Order: sequence, then C-alpha cells, then structure tokens
Amino acid sequence: MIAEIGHLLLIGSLVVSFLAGFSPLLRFLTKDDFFYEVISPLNNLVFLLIFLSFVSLIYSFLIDDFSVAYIANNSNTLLPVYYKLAATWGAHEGSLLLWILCLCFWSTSYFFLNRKKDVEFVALTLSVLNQIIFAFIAFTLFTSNPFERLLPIAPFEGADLNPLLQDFAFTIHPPLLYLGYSGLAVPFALSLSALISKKIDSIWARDARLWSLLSSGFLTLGIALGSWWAYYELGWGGWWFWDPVENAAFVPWLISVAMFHSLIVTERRGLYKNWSILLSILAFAASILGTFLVRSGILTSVHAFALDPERGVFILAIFAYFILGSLIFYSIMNNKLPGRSTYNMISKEFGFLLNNILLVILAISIMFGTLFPLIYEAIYDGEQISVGAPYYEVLILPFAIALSFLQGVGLYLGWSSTREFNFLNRVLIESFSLFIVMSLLVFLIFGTLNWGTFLAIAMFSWIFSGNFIDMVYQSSQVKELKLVLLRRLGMISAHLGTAFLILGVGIVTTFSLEREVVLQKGESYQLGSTNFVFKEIRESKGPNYSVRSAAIEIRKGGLVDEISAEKRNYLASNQILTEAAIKPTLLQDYYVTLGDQVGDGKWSFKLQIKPFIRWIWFGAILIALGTFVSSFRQTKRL
Amino acid sequence: MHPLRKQRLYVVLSILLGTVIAALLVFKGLSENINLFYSPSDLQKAQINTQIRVGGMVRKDSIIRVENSLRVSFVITDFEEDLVVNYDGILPDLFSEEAGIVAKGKINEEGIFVANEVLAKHDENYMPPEVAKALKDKK
Amino acid sequence: MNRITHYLPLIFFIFLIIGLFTFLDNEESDLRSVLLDKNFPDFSLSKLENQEIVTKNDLVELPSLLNVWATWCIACRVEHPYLMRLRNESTINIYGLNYKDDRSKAINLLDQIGDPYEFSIFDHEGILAIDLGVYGAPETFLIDKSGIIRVRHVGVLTPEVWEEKFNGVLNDLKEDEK
Repeated sequence: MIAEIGHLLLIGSLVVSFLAGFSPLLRFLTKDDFFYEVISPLNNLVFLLIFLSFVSLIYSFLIDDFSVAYIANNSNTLLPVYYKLAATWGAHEGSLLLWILCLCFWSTSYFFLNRKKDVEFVALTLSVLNQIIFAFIAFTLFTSNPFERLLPIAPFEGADLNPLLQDFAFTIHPPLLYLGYSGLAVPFALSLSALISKKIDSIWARDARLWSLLSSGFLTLGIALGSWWAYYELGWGGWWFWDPVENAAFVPWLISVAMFHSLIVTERRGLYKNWSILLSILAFAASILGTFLVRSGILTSVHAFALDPERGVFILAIFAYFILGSLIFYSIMNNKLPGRSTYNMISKEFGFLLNNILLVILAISIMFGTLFPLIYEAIYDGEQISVGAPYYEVLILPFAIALSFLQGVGLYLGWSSTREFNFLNRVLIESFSLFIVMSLLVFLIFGTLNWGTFLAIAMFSWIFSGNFIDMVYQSSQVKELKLVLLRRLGMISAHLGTAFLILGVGIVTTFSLEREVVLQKGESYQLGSTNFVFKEIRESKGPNYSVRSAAIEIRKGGLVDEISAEKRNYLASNQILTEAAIKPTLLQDYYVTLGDQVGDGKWSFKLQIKPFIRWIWFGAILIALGTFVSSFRQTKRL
Repeated sequence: MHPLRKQRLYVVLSILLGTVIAALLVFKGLSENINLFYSPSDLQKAQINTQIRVGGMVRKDSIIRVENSLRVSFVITDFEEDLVVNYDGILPDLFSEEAGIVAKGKINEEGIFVANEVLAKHDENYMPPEVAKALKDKK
Repeated sequence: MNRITHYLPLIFFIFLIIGLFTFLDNEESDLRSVLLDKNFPDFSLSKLENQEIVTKNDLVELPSLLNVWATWCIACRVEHPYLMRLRNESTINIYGLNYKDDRSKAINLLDQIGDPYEFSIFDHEGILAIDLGVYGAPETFLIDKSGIIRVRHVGVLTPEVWEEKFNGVLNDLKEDEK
C-alpha cells in the first residue's frame, strides 16, 4: 500500500516537474509573466513529492515489504535497521531516487536563496533544473522503478544487501557523492539562464561560484570517503584504483575546481565568461557521463551497477538533450559577449587561465583513458583490454607539479600585471627551509630518501610557504595576521589540504611496506622496524554473520597493541568477506589481512605498513572544509 | 606585435603545448599499459614474458598448494585448452574451483603463466563477462 | 577564429555521443544475439534427482521454459513462488538447470520449498551453462517446439517480465501452430 503511494507520488512529480520545466515556453508564447511566477511553487511541490516518495520507500524497507522487487533483492529480515535504511540507496533503482532527491534539494535551496531576485532569471534557472529532474524521474519510472511489485506472490525472505555495502562509510558515501554530482546542475542551469536572458555578468558569476563551490565540496567528501572505504574494506591496502567509477567522480571534480577558480576572474574582472560557461556545461556533462558509465554496463568495473544497455540508451539520450542543447545555445547566443581587457603574462588572469587549461586537459585525458577500452574494442573487433594504473600515474604527475607551482605563487600575482617580485625570493627561501626540515624529519622516520619523496616534499613546502608561511611572515602584527587569515581562510584551508594530500600520496607510494607470510600460532614476523605476532584464532558471531578472527599483536618501539583480522561469513548470501585489521597512528597505518589456512595451525597473512596514508584523507577533508568555508563567505556577498 | 595579439598568441601556444604534452604522455602511458586479455586457447598469439591478462574457469581438483607456503598452482580452462597458473600470494576470497577468474602476469618459456595478481571480484558463481564471452566464442 | 572556437565543443560532443550510441547498439545486439533463434545446444548430463543421463532429446514437453537456478542463488528464491504459480496455473512446462551446485543440498531445497520443474539437469561444472552463454543465476530461456531458443531473460522472473518478454512470444508460437 505504501509502495503504491510512493509510486503515485513519483508519477505526480513527473507531471509537476514537466510543467515547471517547460513553463517558460508558455511565457514565450503568451508573454504572460504568470508562467514565470508559477515555476517556483511548482518546483517546491516537486521537492515535497519526491521527498515523500523517498520516505515511503524507506518505510517499505523498514517494514520488510518483500512484495516490492527492489526490496526483496536488496534486503533481508536479519539485516540491522540502519542497513535497511541504507539499502534504500544500495542498488540502482533506489539510488536514482536519492539522486533526484538531492537535485530537488539543490533547486529548492536555490529558490530560497534567490526568491527576492530577478524573476525571469530565477524562473529560467529553475525551469532548466526541473527539466533535468523530469528527465531523471522519467528514466526512473520507465526503466528502473524501485516500487515495482512482485505481486501477488511475495517471498517470505529477501536476498541480502551486498555484504560489501554493509558498512557505515559506504552508506553515507552515495548521499554525499550525489549531492556533489547533482549540485553541478545548478551552475549549468545558471549558465543557460544567463545565455538566454543575456545577463552574463558578475552577479551571475557570483551565484554560479557559490553553487560550484558547494558541489565541489560534496564531491570532495564523497570521493575521499569512497577512497577511505576501499582502503579498509577491500582488504588490499589500496586507496585508489583508477577504476572507471572512481574516474567518473574525479573528472567532474577537476572540472568543478577549474570552474570556481575561473569564476573568480569572471566576477572580479569580467573575463573568461566563455570559459566559465563552458566549464559549467562540461562539469555537468562529466557528471551525467559518469552516471552513464556506471549504470549502462559498457564498462566492467568493481562496482558497476546494472548491466543494461537499454538503460544506457536512455541516459545517453538525456545526455545528448542537455549537453547538445546547451552547447547550441552557447554557440549561437554568446557572440556579443563584451569583456576584453589586456593583461600581462605574469598576472592573476594568466595564472587562472593556465589553471583552467591544465585542469581541463587533465580531466579529458583521464576520461580518455577510461573510455579507451571501449574505443579499442570497437576498432579491434571484440579484443578486450584494460588501461592500467601506471598510465594515470604517469599522466597526473606533471600536471600536479605545474598546478602546485601555480598554487604557491598565485596569491602574489597582480591583476593585469605584477609589479613587485620580492615575493619570489621570500617564498623560495621559506619553502627551501621547510623542505630541509621536512626532508630531515622524513629521513629520521624512515631512514632513507629518494627522488619521489623529494618531489612530494618540495611540492608540499612550496604550497605551504606560498599559502601560509609567507602570510605569517608578512604580517607585522597579530591583529593584522588574524584578519588576513580569516579573509582567506577557505583558500588557505583548501590549498593546504592539497599540500597534505600530495605529501601523503608521495610518502605512502614510496615508503609502503608489504609482505605475504605464513605464520604459526605464536610466531612473529618483522616488517621494517615493526614486529607482528600471530597470537591465536577465535570464532564468534555478528548480527548477520559468523566470524573467524586472528588476533595479531603489533610491537614497535614502546607501542604494543592487539588488532584482529577477520573473515566473515554472511549467513543470508553465504558470502565470505575479509575485514582487514588496521591500527592507525599519526605517522603510519599498520594493516593486516587474514588469508587461508595453509597447514596445520598455519595461516597466511598479508602484512602492510602504510606511512602517512591518513594525511591523504586529512588533506581531502581540509580541502572540503576550505571549499565550504569559501561558499559560506560567498553567500555573504549575495 | 599588438600586445593583445601577442597575449593571445601566448595563450594559444600554451594550450597547444599543454595538449601536445598530454598527448605524448597519453600515448606513452597507453602503449606500456594496455593489458591485453587472452583465454587459454588464444595464448599462441600472446608474447612470452610480457604482462598480459588471462581468464578462464578454475578446473576442479587442480588447485595445488605448497605446504606451509603461499605458493599455489592451478589450472584454468576455456574447455578447449588448459593453462597452468602459478601464483605466490594470498588468493582473493572469491577464488575457488569452478570459479571464473582473471589473472595478471606473464607466460614464461615453459608455457606456464606466472601470475602476480589474481582477480575474482564478483560472486564466486558469477562469471566475469569477459571470461564468459571468451568462453562462449570458443563454441 | 572566434566563431569556429565557439562551435568546437558542440562538434566534439556530437561525435562523442554518436560514438557512445554506436557502442551501446553493438552491446545490445551482442547480448541478444548470443543464442536467440539458434538451436538449443546438445548436452549429456545427469538429472538432479538421480544418475539418469539426459540429453537434448529428453526435453520433450515443448515449448517450455528452462530456468537456471542454484541453492546459493538468493534471487532464485525470490522468483521461486512465481515459478510455482506458473507451473500450476499455465500449461507451460519448466525444466530446471541446476547450476554449479551441491546435489544433495539442491534436492533438499526443492523438497523444502517445492519443485516447479519437470526435472532439473544437474550441471555441476557449468558445461551446458557455458554453451547457453549463462553468466549466473537466475536466468530463464523459452524454447519452442523445434528446440529453438526464442527468449532469454537474465535476472528474476516476475509477472511483468513474463508479460513483456515471454507471454507475447508464447502466444505467437501457439498461433503459428494452428
């Protein structure tokens, strides 16, 4: 019964969003402003309907309504309550509903923040957003309906939620990520409104920047969470695999970063309007393309959703409509964009331009690598290949170096031209000093150094100096320093975040240790300067699984601690999952995975030491924080 | 040259430079990192001592583990040809007899596949589509 | 110069979209063409219930369904009630293909929840499954009177799927017979 209500609400929202989406056409025909004014209430109604629909899906999960196919396939009576909630977005159909809910959240937020502004502009923006909402609801209803019934025969028990998803991090990962993906629709819609109403100005840029920052922040969190989850859940100690699904999130993120940087120039100097508009279209395109790759089954990946080319065609059609449509508007309507100004090569403007170019080329290259297996298969008739991680690692390095360099000096470049170059000396000296200090520290901790580490430390020092140390040095008073820092808090946090992230990546890549060993009960193994002792095997039970765990004692210096590496057998699906034992410390993670029994009382283990790995996610969190702080400041200027 | 033109020239040049560098990196990276996929009977086409991927079904009763070590050998098949795979390490959870697996590694001179990675990502009874396709094509 | 650069992104995306559409199209026809309108493959395997060997010739009650199932396949439990209903209410016959399973567990399961199958083929190694292009379970095939595969469905068999994919074809086949 409740599922029927949910279904009806979804159909209702389809109709209302259609009305909201295409109302401007009526305004165009009748010249009656009513058709602009009516869009906002319609939009809010859509949000309400979708929200209630989502709630009814959740409710059906909580009461174990297995007559609904989606629930029967993804839930189970033994499943703990909080996972039943998460199962709502655990598979394709339900996650689409979540995506739509996120987009509705953004469009309604946009309305609330702008309801006293230019009627036409707001109406156009909301209508574009509602067209997108309409498209996705249509897709859901016609190809992926979560409310479909199995009636009249309902099974007494459901299949289970995939054990890999029965995890806290993974349950909040989709909402965060979808807020990011769907959020990119707002700058996209704003660009279209600006193009149509010919109001591409600093007001538009200021608005667009806010929503780009917000989406980017959520994408940052979603990606970081996904990486952290993969690290502790998949049992291999890896934190990034250049999997198509990961790339599908990384590419829009890169473009969103380019976008909110480019918009700074557009807002302040009226330049790069073309860039900013194109970036907003590109970002949204990347977001939908990502959705397409993950749900159409054309790429095999660790976590591809549904292998269904028919769905792929539908998403591709949505993609074509919005992206080609917006590009047509762009090509036709922007030939009279004013805003020519001269600037020097050594200037903020040029720096931001380089930033745009670098990020976009990097994004396209990553997308190319992701799609290359398809192209290859099409050309060489059926021969299957995969593009390995080394391709991406080689690719990203020069871009990371160039972008780090820009990050360090960006603050000191002047608008139009730079008159004073003293900063170069200062930053060089500061970063060199920091470089020496960090290198010594690293040498003390690890006993060795190599080129990879030097590079990472150099980039870290450069960014740190340019974005923090020099500021401190330059301020003659504490009061002045406080003001400076507060004004630029978002930027500082985000840039420092990238510095920590780069350092973490560099160190964990060069100094990780790993060994697969066979240990007898009581036996120990020395990896690096750490001793791992296999104490014993224990058996126990969880809520919906049984466990065999190995107790491992870690001894290093004065530290002695015990962790437990598990193999879980999930009862409903009979799937075995390895849960790695991780001991995190400030400077490194100790990581143990339990393998198989290889002899009497002998077990195989994979032992790893991952230095500085937490700094990667710490850096990512700083980036996200900085992004959100900047967006908060942006709202103050609205 | 007019300063505006000069500036635009710089812009165009830097875009071109960036693209060329990226293209070079892309092709360099790709040529070294395309891992071709073979089923056991395709292997005559493969080069020895080159990193490739192989896939097939693990033959029943073919898994041999060396006592007290992580060394294991097993046979994969596409029902036409068999291939012996040697691996030194912990096998993934979903590895078992009659499972469809993909392994990365090299063929040595003796025709044995020395794997450095064994992948069994899905449910043990679900065959990776690449493997299923390859096996299907054999019929 | 500027005019052209304005149109470049549009042109690029048009090509990209065409490329992706073509690829999807190939994918779709690949998946479908796997065995449709081809003869059901030959095989020689034992029945689940006993050691009696069955071959393609023993699939006599045609047209019929062939349903791929196993005790480890939870989604199969979800479609099981519907299979029972199909067996009881309609005239369609269902053969089972027990895929990569444990014989005694499979027999026990059917005892417990009911057996909708005329008989099940015990395909422990998955040999017939490979010939059918089976990826996993559940999957259901429709075989016509001449032993040709007409429909293949990957995933749970529901009333909707039955209506959309199977019923129409089945009725057409019955029409052809007249």
